[in-house]
Amino acid sequence: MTVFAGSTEKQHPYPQLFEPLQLSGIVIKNRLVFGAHRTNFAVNNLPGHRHLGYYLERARGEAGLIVMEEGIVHHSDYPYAKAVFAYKDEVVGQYAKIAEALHSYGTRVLLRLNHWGSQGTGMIRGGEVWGPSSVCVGSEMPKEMEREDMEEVVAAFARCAKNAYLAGVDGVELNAGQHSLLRQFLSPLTNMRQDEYGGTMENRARFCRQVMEQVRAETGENFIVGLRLTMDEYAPWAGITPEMGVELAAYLTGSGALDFLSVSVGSVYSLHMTVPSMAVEEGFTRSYGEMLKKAVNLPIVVGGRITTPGLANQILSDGQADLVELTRAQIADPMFAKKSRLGRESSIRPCLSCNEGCRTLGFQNKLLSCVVNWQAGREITDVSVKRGKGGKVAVIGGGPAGMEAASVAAWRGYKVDLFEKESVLGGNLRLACQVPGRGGLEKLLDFYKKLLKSVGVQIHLEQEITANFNFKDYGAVIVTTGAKARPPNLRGNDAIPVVSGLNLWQRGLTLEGQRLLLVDEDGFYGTTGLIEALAVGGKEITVVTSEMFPGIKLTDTDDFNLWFQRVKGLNVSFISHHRVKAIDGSTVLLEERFSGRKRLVTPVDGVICCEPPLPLEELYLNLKPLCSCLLRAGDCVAPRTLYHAIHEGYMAGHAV
Amino acid sequence: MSAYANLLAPIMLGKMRVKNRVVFTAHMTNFAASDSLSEQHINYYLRRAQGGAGLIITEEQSVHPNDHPYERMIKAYQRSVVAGYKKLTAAVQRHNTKIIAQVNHNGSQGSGMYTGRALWAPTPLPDPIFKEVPKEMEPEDMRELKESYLQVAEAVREGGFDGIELQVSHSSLIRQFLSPATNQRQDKYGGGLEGRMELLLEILQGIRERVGWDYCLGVRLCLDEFMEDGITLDQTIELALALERAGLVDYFNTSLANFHNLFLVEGSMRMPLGYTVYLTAALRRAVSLPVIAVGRINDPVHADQIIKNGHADMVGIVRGQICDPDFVHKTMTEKADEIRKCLACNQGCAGRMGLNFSLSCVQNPSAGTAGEIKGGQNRSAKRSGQKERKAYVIGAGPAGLEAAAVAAENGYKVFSYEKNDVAGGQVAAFATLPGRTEFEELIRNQLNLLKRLKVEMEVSCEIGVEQLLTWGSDDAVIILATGAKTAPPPFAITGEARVFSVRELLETKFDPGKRVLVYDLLGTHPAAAMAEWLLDQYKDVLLATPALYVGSGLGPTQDLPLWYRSVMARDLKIYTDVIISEVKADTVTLMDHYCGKQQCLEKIDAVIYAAPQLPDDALYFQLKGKVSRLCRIGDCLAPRKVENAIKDARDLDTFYNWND
Ligand SMILES: Cc1cc2nc3c(=O)[nH]c(=O)nc-3n(C[C@H](O)[C@H](O)[C@H](O)COP(=O)(O)OP(=O)(O)OC[C@H]3O[C@@H](n4cnc5c(N)ncnc54)[C@H](O)[C@@H]3O)c2cc1C
Ligand SMILES: Cc1cc2nc3c(=O)[nH]c(=O)nc-3n(C[C@H](O)[C@H](O)[C@H](O)COP(=O)(O)O)c2cc1C
Ligand SMILES: Cc1cc2nc3c(=O)[nH]c(=O)nc-3n(C[C@H](O)[C@H](O)[C@H](O)COP(=O)(O)O)c2cc1C
Repeated sequence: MTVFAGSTEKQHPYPQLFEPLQLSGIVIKNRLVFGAHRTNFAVNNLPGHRHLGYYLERARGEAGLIVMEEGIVHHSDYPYAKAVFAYKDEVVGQYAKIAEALHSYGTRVLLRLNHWGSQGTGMIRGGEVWGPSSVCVGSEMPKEMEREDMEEVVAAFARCAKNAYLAGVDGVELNAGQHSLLRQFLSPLTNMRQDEYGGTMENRARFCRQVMEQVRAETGENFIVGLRLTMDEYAPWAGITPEMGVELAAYLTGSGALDFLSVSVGSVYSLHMTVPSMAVEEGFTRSYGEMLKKAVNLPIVVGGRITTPGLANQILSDGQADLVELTRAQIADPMFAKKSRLGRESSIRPCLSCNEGCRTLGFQNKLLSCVVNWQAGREITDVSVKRGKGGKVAVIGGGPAGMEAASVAAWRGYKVDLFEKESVLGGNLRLACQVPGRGGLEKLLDFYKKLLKSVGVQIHLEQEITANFNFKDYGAVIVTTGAKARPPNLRGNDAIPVVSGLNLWQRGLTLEGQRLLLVDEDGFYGTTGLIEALAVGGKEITVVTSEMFPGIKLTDTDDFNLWFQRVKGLNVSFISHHRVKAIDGSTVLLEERFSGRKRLVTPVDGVICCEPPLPLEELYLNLKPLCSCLLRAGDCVAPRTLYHAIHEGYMAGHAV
Repeated sequence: MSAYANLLAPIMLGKMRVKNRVVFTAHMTNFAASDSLSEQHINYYLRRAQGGAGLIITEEQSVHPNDHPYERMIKAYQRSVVAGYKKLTAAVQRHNTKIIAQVNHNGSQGSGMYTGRALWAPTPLPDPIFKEVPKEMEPEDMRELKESYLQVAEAVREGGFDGIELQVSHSSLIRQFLSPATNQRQDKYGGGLEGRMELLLEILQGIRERVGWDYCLGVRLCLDEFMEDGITLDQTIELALALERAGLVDYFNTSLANFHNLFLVEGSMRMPLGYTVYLTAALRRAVSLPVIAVGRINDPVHADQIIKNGHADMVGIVRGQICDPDFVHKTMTEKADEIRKCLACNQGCAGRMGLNFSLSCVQNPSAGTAGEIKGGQNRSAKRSGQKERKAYVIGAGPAGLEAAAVAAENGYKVFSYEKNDVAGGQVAAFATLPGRTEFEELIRNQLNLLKRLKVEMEVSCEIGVEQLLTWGSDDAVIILATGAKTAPPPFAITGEARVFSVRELLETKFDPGKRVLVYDLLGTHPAAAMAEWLLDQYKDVLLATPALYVGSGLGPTQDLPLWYRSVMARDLKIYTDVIISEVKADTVTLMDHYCGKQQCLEKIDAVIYAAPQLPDDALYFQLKGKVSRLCRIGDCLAPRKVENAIKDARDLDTFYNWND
């Protein structure tokens, strides 16, 4: 034994995070939970290969507890095509494979069990959906469950828990959070029953209690049974409030059937709060954990926008939780726990809570992925980074595509020169960070700066590359020059200047005039952010869009509601399904999209056209006939999003 | 001679003989599994072949990996598809029906979501639906694209298809090249029509070289894009003449529009029958190759007329044959009156496509299932009992009518009762509204079927519990299809206010006064059609909704554009993002639920609300446990839509034990 033992590893400053915990006699090695979430990885409604690779990678990264994606408990529920049916006998074998693999890394594993109730759909299965009462909260009016239906569902939960037990899974987490029948019973928003399952708190909790007790009875002592509970439906006129949540928690834990409680938030009117965007404060549910800790004597799990080990540890040491659920943070970096333990937190790929890759809701069955982590969900395909043959690589353009490409190529052993014409790195990501509520994107910029340094990329700022570039020195050239504004179709005049949205960002949002008309034909953050920033700056804005509503792409990231709530309080008005036809003096002529009916907006001091940009591809096209090993990535191929920029950057870095 | 001699006459497409003029043109189904044709596809096409269709054109098959606009698309560039091709073509050809594969690349009319790759297009202009900027194709992309078409053409021929059709119409990369609106290229593939059609010519030429000149090769043309700078009929005729001169193709199929105006492709019931025929007729006059007309042709009289008049050589009947696979067979056997006519409601077919569900049909929910195959099911075996068995169906809405048919088909003596003086339930009421009238056809179709099945029907006859208990004790099946009832108003009311549900107003035909506020909590047809109906009566109509826009539910069925066109041209006043917080005499207070701002609407004569209804399930709970063979279906189970009502009833055929 040597006195220097351990000194090569920097001691991590997160003692609480790495202290083991026992649940139902089962030891969990640390406090980091990878929460349950829909991936759309299922094959034939069974967990598949992709699940295994995905979870295994997080286990290798030392997550203490992994809660597998929900298993649907009963055939009356088929909420999305890629749902896993935990009631099928074949799941046992599949779950057993996953459990065994995770156990071999010392990670514990639970299965989330769920029934979507009235939040489901009959569109896939045919037939009606079930709910506690005839209250329509989703797309369909449910059937009010009859007694025999309820008995069946209770038995179904128990049977599926037994399946998990037989598979060697360590326990189950019953869902009374977002998208759940159990919550619909608990909440006066959705439960109007007149029988002993409705009315008083005890009555509303009866169904949930029966489920818990039956599950416990079916699985015995050495098995973890937890409950995911909504603590706030953000519908104070009838829904579950934090106070009601505490009351429910106290009552439900009284039965002794539970080993832990996990905090969820959001419900039918507040989907955007369940997996919220970066506009929501980090660790925003911690106060609910604190309330629960005071009220019940059971381990509490808190999650939601926790993206750093520092905050995770703080929440534990402040006594607000016993376990912390970091879901998106571990999608972004599966090595989160390990890097934290080793004190290498600065190398963690940061979760941005951008919801551009991991949002899997809806019927399109998009496979889960991640903006900052190309490998997420692709662990089973070969993800090992192959060393290159060596040599020199030039990357032109220091935006996200360029930074990713440069870092991957350098990591693979190439000597990389990154050229950027501006005096700072970041490209349009720097502008994206200025969007109100999007400051969180800075994390990505900081991460790349550190990463580029650590892999030894040579950065050359204020170097605009032209077709005269001496590419002969390089084995490969990757062009990532980004986008340029699309010239507006509209012609302005002396009274009304016309400017493109991107140009306005580039020149620091300086625009004369008070009454502005903004054309939204883009619908994403570059436009919604402009509306908000200008309005916050005191401008009066009329937004015109040919779409049915403005900012339509924000619904894809669950950020629409928060943005709309903010801008509706400002001096902004909206005219949807209209197009601008002409500008005359200080008057703008609009045309209704369907009927052709005309309408005037006057007086207007300036018009801003927000349209998707064009690729800045001249350099690429000029080099193309000259240079044989030329690649391009990101907006300079086709202006889209960070997701595409980073993923194509990654691919380009690999293709060298 | 048949009354439909023109329609039933054979025709040559190049060297391919087709036995009649009815074509099942290409349409997406979402039936694909593992990126290939599925069993469901085979069932589906086979059934239409059994029904006598002359020519079937498959759903589009994609030629290249960077084209993946929707999840379940057939990837024809994968060699593995050929096995499925062989099974399908053999099954269909056994019925002397010809089958052609449609091949396509959607270009910018897609997304990189499933592929992670940039889209291809002639020019970087985003599509109005997908809104993703595509990449301007480089020369090497063009070469790759062409080669992929050629390889797929070979696979198609190897798979036993009788021919190939190139989609060059509403959703295709090749149309994007043909159209000045989407092609602003400077190279040889842009500029005048000659340049814009260069890609198509090269591909057709290449395919000919690979599959030979005897093989049937057609194109589906976009007749007119109906947009600024878009393709016009004149251009299409010029293009068709050029193709004809070059001798490259054997026929012209047609479509129109693009994703700016998709409602013109799958015309809803708001579009007139045969709405494209005038365009097709112009094309046919100019060319000598056979021309196919498509678009809301749903009865054989009309179809025969189109051919007789020389407006087209063949007719595409897609939704008509989804709805009734025996369309041709019934026409041939003088049973045209038995054809279940398509409503063009788009709720089961087109409406489910955009949501990524598999194709179905409101009137024929078994479309594409094995149960639809003729001879696949032996009904007489089900009818095992000796004595006559009885079924009583209470309520003659779509669920009750369909259930009566199901029971009769299972060998039961069926009695159907309706308390109103006409059959049809809520459908009879809402089919009086603008844009919904084709729904009357649904009731007619169902009543015709019941007549043939000798179901006894009584209207103006309300059945009570006592009666049902007696019938039920006698081993009869009781099917409750009593529908839904109006829910109480979803807002507080003080003072004398006139408030009705949409349904109450429809059923009473009460005059609501001059200035009327419609309040929509559904986003579907009830509020929209009601508002339009009121406008038709020269009322001042206001419409308030908590949604971001009125009529989100009209989008998938392609009713939205024409509804807006109708109401925006008049003075419908729309309030979005609001809930009604109070109705006080003739004043209504609205609250913006995003920011809490309130506003008052005054002098409102009546408020009409469209909200989820409640099940009319009183009879059910009175009978439950007391009658052994009790079923409940449709809105009386859970208030939803017509397709659910009919599906619930049809499911009884599969899941109910009629032999019990
Ligand atoms: C205001 C705004 C907000 C946005 N918000 C979001 C968002 O929230 N989420 C999202 O996903 N996307 C967002 N986007 C889009 C996103 O920023 C881009 O898709 C992404 O930055 C593209 O990355 P890139 O590396 O391809 O190009 P860029 O980020 O544009 O980087 C290109 C770089 O190349 C440099 N360069 C160009 N020519 C040369 C040359 N000849 N020599 C040297 N250097 C050169 C440029 O200076 C620039 O730094 C936003 C865009 C804007 C404008
Ligand atoms: C794609 C995805 C889907 C999710 N679905 C659910 C869900 O259906 N119900 C739920 O209670 N939590 C769901 N979660 C929530 C996570 O378990 C976690 O609570 C949430 O992501 C917030 O924590 P985070 O910021 O660490 O990701 C989901 C998370 C993700 C990323
Ligand atoms: C659900 C549905 C999907 C369709 N998809 C396609 C398609 O992918 N390609 C195509 O060329 N036409 C497609 N069409 C158009 C049809 O071929 C046809 O032109 C249209 O349905 C009008 O004919 P009908 O009135 O006889 O149904 C589709 C139609 C429907 C109803």
